[in-house]
Amino acid sequence: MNKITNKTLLVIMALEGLMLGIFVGLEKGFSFEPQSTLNALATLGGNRHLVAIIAPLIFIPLLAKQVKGGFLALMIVVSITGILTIITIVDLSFVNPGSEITGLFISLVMLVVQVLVLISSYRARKEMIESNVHG
Amino acid sequence: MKKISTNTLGVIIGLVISVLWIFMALDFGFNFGSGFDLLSYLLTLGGFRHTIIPIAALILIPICSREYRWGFTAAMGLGIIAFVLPLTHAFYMLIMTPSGYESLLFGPLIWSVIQIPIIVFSYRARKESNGEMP
Repeated sequence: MNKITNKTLLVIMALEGLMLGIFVGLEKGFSFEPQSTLNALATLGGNRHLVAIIAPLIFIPLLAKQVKGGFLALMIVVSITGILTIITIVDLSFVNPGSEITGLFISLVMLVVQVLVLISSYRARKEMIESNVHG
Repeated sequence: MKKISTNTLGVIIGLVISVLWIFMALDFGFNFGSGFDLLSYLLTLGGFRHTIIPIAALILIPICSREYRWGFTAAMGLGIIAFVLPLTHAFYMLIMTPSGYESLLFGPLIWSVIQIPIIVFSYRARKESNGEMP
């Protein structure tokens, strides 16, 4: 029986956590209305949650198959969306403070999960490279 | 580095597409609304079919990628439920709703079709995990 490693499993579960959060948000009727130009850019015109959910869905089979390029691609996508999330947090905290508390909270939670995805995919990729080197 | 089998990958891709279909519908603003009759209420699991089944699929993805046999059984069960309920609901709507609403049947019908590879691949993956397949 070929089982994936614990580190790969952690990446998949972290991605699922990210998706589940957005999924439940959409189910509750969440839709993002950009408050400023910076906000609109950082949220990709209010469509960042689409990218943040469709990309993981595409990556999950690649990660389950333990394709090395999949982990790298995931790290790149999550880094980009993570940077955009940080810009949103800065915008909502300092540039336009008090405009959207819920949005700020969601962005903070999203950032924490994105960091978890990034770390776990780095560790899983490293483990894969090491196992290829050692045999 | 050991890799998962093609059948397991088939189950995972099927579950992912199933979730993606519902996600796209939700993003387009889909909801069941209100005013169900009893049969519609049962077939849509109280209007929460599109919530319960994708969340169950999301939970099953890591379990199936870990290749647990009971995970494949659960995925097969979920696939059968997600195949039967929307299909029955679509036929029920076809009979009961006035003409002009046929486009509403598109979503559940496609979703039912998506379940077929999930059922087939999870059956094959389960069989494989029993050691019945080479």
